This record gives sequence, structure tokens and C-alpha cells, in this order.
Amino acid sequence: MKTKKYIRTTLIVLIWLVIWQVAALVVNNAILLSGPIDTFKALIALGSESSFYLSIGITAGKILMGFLIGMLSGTVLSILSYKINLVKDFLSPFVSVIKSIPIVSFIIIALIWAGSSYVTVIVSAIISFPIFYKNLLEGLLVTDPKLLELAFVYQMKPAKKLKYIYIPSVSSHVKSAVSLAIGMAFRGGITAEVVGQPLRSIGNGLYLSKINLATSDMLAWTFAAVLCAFIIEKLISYLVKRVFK
Amino acid sequence: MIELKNVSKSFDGKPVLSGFSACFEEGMYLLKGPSGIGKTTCIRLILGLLEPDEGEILRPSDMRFSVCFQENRLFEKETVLTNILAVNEGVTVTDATSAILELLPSDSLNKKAGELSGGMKRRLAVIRAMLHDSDCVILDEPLTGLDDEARAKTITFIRERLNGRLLIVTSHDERGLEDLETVDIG
Repeated sequence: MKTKKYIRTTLIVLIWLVIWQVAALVVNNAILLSGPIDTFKALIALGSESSFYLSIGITAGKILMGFLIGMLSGTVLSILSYKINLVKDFLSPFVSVIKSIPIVSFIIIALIWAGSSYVTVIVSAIISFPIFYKNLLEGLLVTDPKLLELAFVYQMKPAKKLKYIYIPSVSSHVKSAVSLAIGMAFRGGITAEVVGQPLRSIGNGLYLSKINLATSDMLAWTFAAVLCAFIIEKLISYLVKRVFK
Repeated sequence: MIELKNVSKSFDGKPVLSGFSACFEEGMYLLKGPSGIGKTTCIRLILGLLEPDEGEILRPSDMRFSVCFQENRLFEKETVLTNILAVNEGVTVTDATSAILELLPSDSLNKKAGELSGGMKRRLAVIRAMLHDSDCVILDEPLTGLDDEARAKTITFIRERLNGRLLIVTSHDERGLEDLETVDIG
């Protein structure tokens, strides 16, 4: 059954690659649309330079750091909001504003305040924070009150309450927050790099591809970013699954 | 000793208990009354989960309770054994296992609570309450959903594991509980 699914997925991907290549041949202009073969060649060429891996590593590291800051602050503040209504009311407009402000505005503010070196971390953190805050708070608020009464009567210790009542309640919320936040952090973080152009970054690679009209290079950088986000998401999801099993 | 003095409680303006008084000293009590008369509310008031609108409830401030709620309130994704140990710090695996085997089949030990039948879940909730180190055991309809054999075994288990603690039980069916001192609500 699993093998059948793999074959099916591979076939679908192959068909899309063929459609892409045919479209590139029809357009017949590498600047307008570069095909998968040219993109693959560009990827090989970029992959032969150590700076390519360094850029990916630095960008991924910064996004991961921002993601972790967002996760930690979102977790701590959602717990405080759950415990203290005043904190929840106080943070509510702030979180709503963060969610609705265009990400480019944050990028510009972060560039003015902290410079291009930190823009990726700041933007990734700002993107991740409300996702974790909202999801965790939602999970905490739907904690079964009947189990909390049980814990009260049986005088359960905080560690046991956490393990048997709170973690099962927030588990699915945390899993979906991780999956959503890491993807969004990568998008926002790389956008911030394209605007801020810190040296040795995926965003800078994309920007240079744009000014050189090297579409295949741009697609190769994009592929690297998507792959990187995918691997990190799988890795973090695995860790979260282990903790929230 | 637990004493309820002229206790009243309403929900959304609808009175559930009005001017109810009772005294539970050492021993075993059966809280009686038709369905919806306020037995569960009375229990929740005793446990401190609700505050009375009027009247007062006197009980030692350090009184420890164990309870089998009307709903089982189990950790559904945890095993039968974990359900016992999670709320019973002082109980060893051996003690918990032997208590479980008195009321449940041996293959249920490592089953998840969510996989048990309704009657088995009920018995697990009773075992959990009886093993808890407390001064007062409260069982709200502990025999619901049990067949005659399971019912008799559960009653024996409760009596054997009570160890002189105060017991307050609610039950629609008084079979096997005739010797308990009855307290009528309503």
C-alpha cells in the first residue's frame, strides 16, 4: 500500500516536471521561464561552491533561531494568558495587530532598528510568535475541566497534571503550530533577506539572481530553500512528536 | 466529620438544593433521592468544587478526598495501570496490579483506558478512588453499567479497601448496600 502511494506520488511529480519542461520549451526564453533541466544544472553549479552551503546554513540557522524565540515567547505568554485573564486581555490587541500588519512593514522596522544581520531572526520570531501563542492558548482553554477537577480532588502534582492533562490537551495544537510556523518563518525570513540583503544568505542569492536575470539560479535557490524548510519541519515535527507522543 | 447546614444551591436561578442539612460522621452512607434531586451537586459541594449560595459546609480543612465521579474521568490514552498510578503517588505497581486484577481481567492491565468497555471503565474509576490515600471516599453512582456479578465483586472490593474511612455513596439501586446509613435528599 505504501509502495503504491510512493509510485503514485513520484508519477505525479514527474508529470508536473514534464509539464514545466514543455512550458519552458514553448516559451523558449530562459529569463521568462527556466525549465527543470536548466534549474537542475544551475543547482549543480551552485552546489559546487562552498558559499552556497554556507548561505543555506546561515539562513536556516537564523530562521531556526527566530522560530525558537517565537515558540518560546508564544509558549510562555500563552501560559500566562491562560492563568491570568488580565494578561490575555492585554495581549489580545497586540497579537491581532501583529497578525494583520504586512510582513514588509516589520522587515523595514527590523532593518532600521537592528540592521540586515538580524532582520531574518527578528522577522522569523515575529511570524512564529502569534502562531504559537494563539494555538497554545486555544489548546489550554479547551483543557477538559472535568479532568482538572479530578486533579484538584486527587491533589495531583503539577508535573503529573502537565503530563496527563495539559500536554494531551495542547498536543495537536502544538503540532499544527510547528508545521505552520516553520513554513511561514522560512517565507518571511527569506523575504526579509531579499529586502535587507545580508551577505551569505538565501535571500541575497535570490536577489543576485534577480539582478543578473538568472532565472534558473533563482529557481535553484528557491528549491534549496524549500528543501531546507521541509527537512527542518520534518526534524522539528519528529522532536515534537517524541515529546507529545 | 462533614456537616452540611441549611445548604442551598441554584443554577441559573433554578434551585437544586434548598436548605439541605446532613451530617456524615465515621461510617458508610448512602445518599438517596430521585434522579435530578441534587445528589451530585451535594457531592460537588462536599468536595469543595462548588460553593453554596446559602448555608455552610463544615469539614476539616486538611481532609483528603478520593472520588469516583459520575463520569469516569479517566486518562483515556493512558494504560489502566497508569490511570491508577498517575493520581496515587504512594501506590506501588504491585499493589495497583493486584487491585486491578481483583476487578478487571488480566489482559486489561496494559490496555489503554479508552479501549475498555463502559463497565470496565467504571470499575477502573472505582479502583482508582479506593486506592487513593484519603480520609473520605465519595462514589457517585459507582455501580452504573455493571452486571450482577461485577456489581457484587465491586461492592466487596469497596468494603475491603475502605479501611475505616468515611464513605459516601450515591446509587439508584440499593442492592448490596442495605446496611449503609441512608441520607435522603429531597
